[in-house]
Amino acid sequence: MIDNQCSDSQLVLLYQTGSEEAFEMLLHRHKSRIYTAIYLIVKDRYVAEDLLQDTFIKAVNVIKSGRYNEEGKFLPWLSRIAHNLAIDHFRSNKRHPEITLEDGSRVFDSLQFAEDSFETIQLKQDTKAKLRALIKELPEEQKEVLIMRNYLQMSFQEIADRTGVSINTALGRMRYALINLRKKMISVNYNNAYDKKFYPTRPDEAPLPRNLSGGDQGN
Amino acid sequence: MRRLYLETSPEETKAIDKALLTNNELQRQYNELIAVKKELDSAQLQPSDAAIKNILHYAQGLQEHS
Repeated sequence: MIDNQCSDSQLVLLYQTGSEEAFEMLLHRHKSRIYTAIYLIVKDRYVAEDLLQDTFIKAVNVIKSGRYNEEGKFLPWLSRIAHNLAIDHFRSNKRHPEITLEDGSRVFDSLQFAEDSFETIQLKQDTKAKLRALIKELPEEQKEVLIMRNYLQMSFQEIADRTGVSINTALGRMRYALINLRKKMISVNYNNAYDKKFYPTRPDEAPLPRNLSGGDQGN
Repeated sequence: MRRLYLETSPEETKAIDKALLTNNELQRQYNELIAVKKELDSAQLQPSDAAIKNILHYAQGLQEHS
């Protein structure tokens, strides 16, 4: 039984020496973030699942062939694989666009213009889907940074390097992404966001930041 | 932003937290960003069991052949 507190690099080492459980733990630890990030780029659940599989299969091949050399930086490495695959697909799909719904189902010639489309009904029912839809509405540059930082967990410096901008630009885009997203959440009455402890009516009701532990990013 | 994503050094963290404690407007803005980040984290999607099984099956197969 592997300790749940095991770091990613320890799990990679264990997997290299034959522990399937270690790989399973790595997969379950990162699958949701990676999958969500891919989905937000390609906008299709089926394609996102295919690319998630491709991402981990690529990682497995590299690790098992002894070519893994990321010195303890497993997640950024995995994120780069996922991001590259998603962007490659996004670019190729731009030439042959398909319209898909939140659940991944495709709409070709059966576009409906009724007031309550399937997606509209689903959006009403699923606030998380609503939030993902709002993310998709963000300007491309802001959305890109938000996905890379929040879901792929790349550092701002790495995002700056990968997108060819300064770190201050990356930070600014992230700030605007969160501010714009909040405005959108307000405009659509995104109820979950109105938690009183985060939206105090008076300044003295605001919670202070807790768990102020150093600059450790954790894993 | 870097404080929100825990990228600050201990010294920077200390300085920022001090500013947050003494500036209500800054604190309000920071708490709003925390709230949005919290929602983003909770909006993660789960891949299907079939996709996870495929990955595990592949990894297992490779393990057996290595």
